[in-house]
Amino acid sequence: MTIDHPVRRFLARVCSAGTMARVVDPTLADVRFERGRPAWIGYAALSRALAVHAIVSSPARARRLWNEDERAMPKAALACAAAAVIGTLVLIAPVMMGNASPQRIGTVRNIVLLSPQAMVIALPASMLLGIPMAFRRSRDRRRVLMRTLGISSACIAGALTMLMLVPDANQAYRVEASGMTDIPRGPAEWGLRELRKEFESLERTPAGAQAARELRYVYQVRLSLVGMALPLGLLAAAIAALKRGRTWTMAIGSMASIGYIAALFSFSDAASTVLARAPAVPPAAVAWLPVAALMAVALAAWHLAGARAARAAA
Amino acid sequence: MSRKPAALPRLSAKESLILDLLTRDGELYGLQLVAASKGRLKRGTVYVTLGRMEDKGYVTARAEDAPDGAGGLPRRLYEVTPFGVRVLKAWTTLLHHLAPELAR
Repeated sequence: MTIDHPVRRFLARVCSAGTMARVVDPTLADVRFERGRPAWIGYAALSRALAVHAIVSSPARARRLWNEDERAMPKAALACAAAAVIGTLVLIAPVMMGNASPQRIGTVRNIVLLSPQAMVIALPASMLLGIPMAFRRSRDRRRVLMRTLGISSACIAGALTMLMLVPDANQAYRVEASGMTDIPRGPAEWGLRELRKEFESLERTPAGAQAARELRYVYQVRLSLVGMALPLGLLAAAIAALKRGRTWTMAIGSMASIGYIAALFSFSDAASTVLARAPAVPPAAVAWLPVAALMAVALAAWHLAGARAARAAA
Repeated sequence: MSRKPAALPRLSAKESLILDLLTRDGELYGLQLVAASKGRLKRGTVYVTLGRMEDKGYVTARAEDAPDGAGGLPRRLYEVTPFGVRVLKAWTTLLHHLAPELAR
């Protein structure tokens, strides 16, 4: 077993220097002295050692994660949660204050029923404010990126949970608003499974092709809104990497959040037109286009921020 | 106001066994410890336990001299520290007084 062994090279990328020196290298070095025994026994021992090490060191790792970079992780989580709540309230305020909002639903009930669909948008967008505010003083780019990916994954899980609640919340809102209990559900009140079943059924009939395309688009848009958390997280990390003051960071984060939400609604109108006029364009491509575009922007911003930091260091 | 006393050193059964073997045999490799323990230490966990013992100051480790062949991974040799010896003695004495059936 040599230093350049592929298994060791891979582990060196994912494990800390301490884990490599104390657990991985000694275990791999033992393989060299066990000629005659199958190599898989050594790899099995290494897997077990890494699993035990992960469990044993998890409390210390959690403590380190909590305290590092002036407690950036808990600050980021708190800032993201606060931004998500504010964003949700801003998104549902027009509906609540508009004429369409029925007086028969109380304010709290109104907020509870309208929040899930607003949260699907507000939760990923909250990272644009929370991550730059918490990580703007961090110097380790790789660490910021890894932590951001962790927060993005949490946002994806949160947005996916909200997405599951949206159909029932919408239906409950309609029932309470109308006072009738037997309102049939529409596409906005169908879950992902019902939507899929419906557009697959429509695709089998010649007359239902256009309706099927629209439903397929709705299905893909719901998933892409959740997937937005990944490029938004990367963009947030790029903003954090600019290392500006609190006011500037808050301003740029707020502007990016507002810009993202405004662009999302504008794109939704344009997408409906494209779907109606261009039957050759797949609905999934239209739905995921914003994610791809935002990912390209986020990657460019991340690289630019890296180049700027390298220049500053030089 | 009463203050919580500083934690006393503790030894798990595996840590106690490792200190015992290192005190008896001197410097040993991980695999030698596994072999000497007659099945009580497993090769999948011995390095995790040794790593924790290094953190606690019970043992020290050094890489062996450069192995044959370019780029070969060196094994680690473990040795008990004077603090480790004192902790083992104190722990064994304590067990003899409080729980003789465990001190065997």
